[in-house]
Amino acid sequence: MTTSFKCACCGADLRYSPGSGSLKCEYCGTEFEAEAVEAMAEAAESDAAGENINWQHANPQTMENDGSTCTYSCSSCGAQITGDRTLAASFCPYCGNTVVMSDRLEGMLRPDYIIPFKVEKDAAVAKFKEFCKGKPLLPSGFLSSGRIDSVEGLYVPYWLFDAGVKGRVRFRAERVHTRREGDYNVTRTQHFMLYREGVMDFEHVPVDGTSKLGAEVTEAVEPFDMHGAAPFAKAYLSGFLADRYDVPQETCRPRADERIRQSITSALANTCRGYTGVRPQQQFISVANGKIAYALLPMWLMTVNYNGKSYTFAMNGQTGKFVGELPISWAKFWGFFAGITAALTVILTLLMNYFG
Amino acid sequence: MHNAHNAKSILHKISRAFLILIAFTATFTAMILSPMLSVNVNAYTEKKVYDYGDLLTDREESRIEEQLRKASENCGHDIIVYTVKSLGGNSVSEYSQRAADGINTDSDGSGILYLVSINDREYDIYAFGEMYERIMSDRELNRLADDLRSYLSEGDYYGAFSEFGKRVEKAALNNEDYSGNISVRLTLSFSTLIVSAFIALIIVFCMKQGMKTTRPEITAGNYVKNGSFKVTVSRDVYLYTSVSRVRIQSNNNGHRSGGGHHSGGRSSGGHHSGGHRSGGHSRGRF
Repeated sequence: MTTSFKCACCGADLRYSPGSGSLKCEYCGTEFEAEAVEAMAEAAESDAAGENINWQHANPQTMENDGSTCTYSCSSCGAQITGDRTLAASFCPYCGNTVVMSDRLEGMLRPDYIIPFKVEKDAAVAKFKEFCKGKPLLPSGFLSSGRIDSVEGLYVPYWLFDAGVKGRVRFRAERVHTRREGDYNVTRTQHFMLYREGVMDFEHVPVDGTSKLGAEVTEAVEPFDMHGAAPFAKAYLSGFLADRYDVPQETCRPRADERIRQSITSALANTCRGYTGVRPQQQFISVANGKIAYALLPMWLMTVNYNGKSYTFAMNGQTGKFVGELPISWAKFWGFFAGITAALTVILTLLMNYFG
Repeated sequence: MHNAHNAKSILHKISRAFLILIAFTATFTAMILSPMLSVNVNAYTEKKVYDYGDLLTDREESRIEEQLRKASENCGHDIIVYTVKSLGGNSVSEYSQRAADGINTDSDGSGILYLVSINDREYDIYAFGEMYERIMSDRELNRLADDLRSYLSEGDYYGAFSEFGKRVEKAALNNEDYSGNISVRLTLSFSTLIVSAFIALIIVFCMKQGMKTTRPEITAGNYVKNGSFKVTVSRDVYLYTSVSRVRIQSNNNGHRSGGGHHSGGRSSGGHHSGGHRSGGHSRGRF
């Protein structure tokens, strides 16, 4: 039985019969020792085997409503957010437009976990003001829109992924030696294939289940301390808004897979010592007994519309980590550029004339 | 209406930014150019005409004096006329050089001296300093001397010295090297501008980066159970070696900077006043 795989040097197809010892590539002439040949054959097999990922899905149930809550609807982005009537939320935390209170209830989904709010609203407002301070490129009209107080505390729907993961990663690496031999600088590059397998347990890898917030917001406020995750109790919700997922877990799964893959690859790459240029060539993970859970995670959110674009500010409701994006005034950008250039030119020329 | 107001305020901001830019550019241009506008001043002497040989009338002397003084100020070099009755046994080049050293004592000094000895019927034009290094080469000196000799032969000393002053002034002002000085200065300012612009761009980009802290997370490292990571298989396999050879360039060409300032100059034996100053002569009989 022959195994066919690619020459490690030029990529041409090689034919190999087991037991024939060393092998020479017909196209580039590189010779490979028996061990190398075996490794390349195994690599080809491993590639063919691919990945094996199994997740057990969550199944959140709809909860009964007791009439104290209502729905805040946003006609601009379509958000339907549940919250106490007494909240009287006026702005949609996702898109910044006005929301309307209605009695029609979607039905809250019961999450498996919830991380209660630890950070107060005042802290969120203060953090936002601080973020806007000392930003010379901020357009001056931005702050004066007076929306700072309309920060909303929202429980954002997330899918949490738990698994014990096995990873198989293949790397290519080199060792380079340069030496002078006579009239030449001779560079010898030794090429290696590094093969690593490892296991790693992951607990509650979060992927947000709402299409209304991008990953750059929901992942930037991480990490959440999952030890603070408690089994759900309705009391946690009062005083805050809460949303339900609109992105199914199956759609979120690849994102979790990718983050897990990267984690295990980088951990395995760290065990490859003594080489220059370690590059992953093939990364496979196996997930057995993966479990998905549905959770509500706390976030202080505010979105401001400026010049036709919306800017979302988010603060982790558990840890207080603040992220946001501010608009840039291009006039100020180029103004500062010109001013600094001119000032530096004057200074540098004076210095050169003085010392030159 | 809101949009119009926005557009107006943006225009206002842009024009403000440009005003700042123009103000800065004007300031720095003024500062750069002003040293250039002030003429290269070498310490030059008051009196330009030394008529010990009595070849000029009082009126002629004062006219030449004025002409040479203006010319010297204009081009920044000493233009001197020196007449004697006799060289007293000295060579004409030695005499002219000593005279020049005595009149213009600055080691950085630059100028040209026209010596005429009436009894010996010899002349010498001696150029020193920058005047010789950049403006009047040996060939130019010879040409000037030849052209003026006819004046001397005819006894038109006023004409000789007046023409002398005009020719030297013209050569000095026309000299490309002087404007080359300007172009060096401008290159300097331009490269400083580039460097400053580069640094400014970096600074402004850093300011911009701080405005956005939202970004996705690549790994799930924060959610790994502590101590759960274990490597189960680890194998390093050697594949092959590739070799590349690069021939080392042997660099035998040393740089020899062009010589030149001193070719043709002859320093007379004996002492010099002040430092070493290059100079060149063109002498003859009339």
